[in-house]
Amino acid sequence: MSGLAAVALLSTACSAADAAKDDGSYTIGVIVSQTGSGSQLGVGELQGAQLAVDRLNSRAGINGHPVRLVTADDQSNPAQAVLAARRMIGKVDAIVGPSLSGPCRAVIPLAASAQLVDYCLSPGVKPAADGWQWSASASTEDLAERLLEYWKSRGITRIGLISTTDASGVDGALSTKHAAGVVGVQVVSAASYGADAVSVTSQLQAVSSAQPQALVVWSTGAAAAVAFKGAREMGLHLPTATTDGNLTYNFLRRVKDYLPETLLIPATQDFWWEHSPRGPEARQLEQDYHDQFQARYGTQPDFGPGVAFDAVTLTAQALGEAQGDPHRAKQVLQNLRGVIGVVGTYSFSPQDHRGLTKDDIAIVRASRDSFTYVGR
Amino acid sequence: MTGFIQVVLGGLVDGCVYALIALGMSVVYSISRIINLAQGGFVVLSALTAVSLQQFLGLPPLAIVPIVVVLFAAVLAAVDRIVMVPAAHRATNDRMLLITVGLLQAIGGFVLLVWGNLPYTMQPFTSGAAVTIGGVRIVPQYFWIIGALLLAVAGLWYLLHRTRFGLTMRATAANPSAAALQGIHVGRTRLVAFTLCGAMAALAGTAVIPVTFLQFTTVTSYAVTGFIAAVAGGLGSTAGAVLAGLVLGLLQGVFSRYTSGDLAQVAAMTALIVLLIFRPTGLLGRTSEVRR
Amino acid sequence: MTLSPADESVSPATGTGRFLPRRERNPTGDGRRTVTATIALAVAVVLPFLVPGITGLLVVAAIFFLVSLGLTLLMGHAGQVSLGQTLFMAIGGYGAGALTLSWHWPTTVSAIAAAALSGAVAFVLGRLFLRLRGYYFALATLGLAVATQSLASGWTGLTGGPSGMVAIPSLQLAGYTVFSDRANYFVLLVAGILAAAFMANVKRSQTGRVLTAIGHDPGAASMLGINTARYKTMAFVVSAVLASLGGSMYAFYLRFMSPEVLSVTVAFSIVIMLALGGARTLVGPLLGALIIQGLPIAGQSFALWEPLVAGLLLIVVMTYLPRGIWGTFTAYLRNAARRRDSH
Repeated sequence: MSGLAAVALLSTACSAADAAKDDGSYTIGVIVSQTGSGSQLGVGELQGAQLAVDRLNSRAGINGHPVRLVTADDQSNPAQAVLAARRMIGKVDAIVGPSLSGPCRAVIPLAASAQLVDYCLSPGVKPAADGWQWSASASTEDLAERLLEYWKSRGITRIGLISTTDASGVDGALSTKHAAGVVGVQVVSAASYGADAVSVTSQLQAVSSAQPQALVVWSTGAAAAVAFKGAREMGLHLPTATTDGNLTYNFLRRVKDYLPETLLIPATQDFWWEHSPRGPEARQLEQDYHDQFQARYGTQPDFGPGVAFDAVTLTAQALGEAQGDPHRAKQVLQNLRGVIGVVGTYSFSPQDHRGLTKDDIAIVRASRDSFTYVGR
Repeated sequence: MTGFIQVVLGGLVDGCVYALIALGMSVVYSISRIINLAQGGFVVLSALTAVSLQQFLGLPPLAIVPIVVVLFAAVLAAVDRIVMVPAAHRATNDRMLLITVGLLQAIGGFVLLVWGNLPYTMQPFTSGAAVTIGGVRIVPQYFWIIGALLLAVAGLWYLLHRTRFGLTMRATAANPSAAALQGIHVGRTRLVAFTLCGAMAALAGTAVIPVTFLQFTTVTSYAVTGFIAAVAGGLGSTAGAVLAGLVLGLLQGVFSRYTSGDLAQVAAMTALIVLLIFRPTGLLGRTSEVRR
Repeated sequence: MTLSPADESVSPATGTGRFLPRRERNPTGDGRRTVTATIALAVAVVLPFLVPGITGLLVVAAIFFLVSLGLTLLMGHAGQVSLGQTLFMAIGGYGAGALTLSWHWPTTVSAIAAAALSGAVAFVLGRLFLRLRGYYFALATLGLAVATQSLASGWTGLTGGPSGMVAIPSLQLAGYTVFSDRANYFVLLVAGILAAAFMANVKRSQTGRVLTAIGHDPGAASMLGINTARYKTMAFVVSAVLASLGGSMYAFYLRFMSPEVLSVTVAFSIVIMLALGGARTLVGPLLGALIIQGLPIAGQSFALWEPLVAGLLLIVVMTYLPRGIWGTFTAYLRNAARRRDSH
């Protein structure tokens, strides 16, 4: 047994020794779901991350240090995310990703053990105070509150809620119920279904039987599409809202013929920057970001590129201010205030590793091929 | 009350699809003793093929159905010749189950490769508003789904009980080796069984895709549900397969109306396992060989 | 009791000759075997130092080796396909996680307690299920796999629900924290060797031969007065204990458990690993685990092709190499040796 332990000790020491490496550049590991169920987000996230790095390097990097990306695909699977993160430890100065909340939660212990900043791209995790993980985009509670406030201001006070039984669906359902309490809106009925369900008639029936004035569908991709279609077949013509995870053009193209008459989505600044009260600097950044993305990838950026662009930019900035020391980068990052990004204006604190507020959220309406601002 | 009937109707419509999958499995099982776990995969594959064909040819969905049905009858015949026959020469029935697991995995991989991980759907066979009967809303496609099941059941019944070849099939199902001794070409009989199975997969896939969205992850859930219906109904029993499929859809619908999605799944599995332990031949199975 | 020659692929010391010391029967073969095993062990020890990039893959492959190795008795010998091994991995993973996190038990004790629980559950389920034959047993265990995923997601209080159980501690051995890939690898290497030695002994023992007989002809076996259900239940319990230990190691290594980690697809892939490598051999499960876990890492662009290739590979192997890759390979070697000896 002691021999075994000695081997264990020896190998721990060895892998710690691997960590020393410096060629002057800052290396950011990007773990996104390029394949699997999260690839709708992951592919765009990789594009956004690449754009951010090229933009930084075209301005001579961070204080003269170029920024490098090391990328990995977690296949939308937490176990693969852990493997990818383990491979990166010792070789990167910070990690951006994964894309989905399950894999994000899976890499938390690793980031803490290795003392590396992990900027998770899913809004669905709640980073611990003074921990090593950050979370991108606005919080689910803030999104839900913004949405329900908007509806309340238009006289909708009774809502039905339908969500998937996966991590983001459960989180969304809890947040919506919580937000309803805060805003003063009543969730009259709620139901859940599996993310790979092919029929949600029963659940929609359960929800609609309580006569809600509007419907929240907290699920993404195919699961949301199945719910929209089911509602249409049942003749439910309720104003509908869904999660920011569906803010992708790919999703819109798939469901364009089956969209509810009104489909609202709470969205961050990058979707309505032309209507944003932020100053000229922010406007210039947004303009550049959208133009450069369009020029490079031939399409407008959606949810994924924005969060990854900001995450890479912020992480690189923190690494620069920490003189490349990955362990100090956490202190620096959590003390950044008022940094303008494309998703919103970030003000972190040890207690707030998200940095965005409800001010960065407005409601957009999904039509066949675009998202248009409707109000805040 | 109308709400409940609506739930029952929705459950039965889902059940029609499960019944079609289980029916295909059952026909193949009775002739070849192979459980084709990949049947659920073929349902999704045929549905997505129909979507792509419809977009490519620009024909109305209803015209696509016969094309896809014939196509998949041929595909499954090819699967029998290319995959099943060489494998069955060497492998036992348990190994054949693994081969169909491999087939299911390969179909999922193929769907992911060709169609990506995007959800797909198709226009309903016939346009037109939903019918409301006593407060219960029925979209026209529901009739097509029910019709697809009825067509498959009636066609199969006619083939088995009103044709000479059906007699051969029934003889083979009852005792393959005795049938072979009687001069029945068992290989040809199972080729027909696989062809029928492919046609049923295509019927199920094309009928259901207009009311939902399908993608590569749906492959496993259809395969598992269909397998459960086929075994719960009693392997080889066509009436049992249909009944079990309908009951399964109904239970799922009712359970998910009143409980959470996860709880419904666990309850369904518990019910199934209890059924197997106390009545291992399934609802309508006749063989007494499943338990010692 | 007669056994077909194919069964000797596992243990040459079967039948009437088993009381003879093996060395007398085949001195060169046994010497060669020792040399091969030593070389294999040496390679296994230096591999993570030679190719550090693949240590993570080796760790996961070793975990699935443990899980699938346990199934060789039940599937390879008794001929029962269990599609529900994720249930025991879940008991091992979540059980060890919950015991260490909530009750602060030592990690090793938690893993052993979870394995004991898995064994008990398998004993009860085995009593119920193993009266069922072939497909019906496979179906019942598939039901277990589906229920496992749903329970892992629905029983939020214990498992953390869909978002999973986070911050499970690393394995602690004699005061050392087994955190790094390499440390995990060496622990698993030792565990794997112990498990393989155990399985080799069981296979060579009377139990192993009885199970083979049951797999061949259950009717004849019961006529000989063998309590087939008892032996099969025993094999099921062994598979459950190893799966549980594998699940615990998985949890300690990932430091995380979630329903996705234990999905029905994973349950399928365990059986696929075993079938690919060879369900009756000890090396087969290792080979299968390396192939299935290695495919996704073979290349980023290849990840997309992986499910298709894995499926086709299984079909081809099952069709043309029913003994699995390793089983066929060793049979070929043995035939070649026999031909040489006869000249």
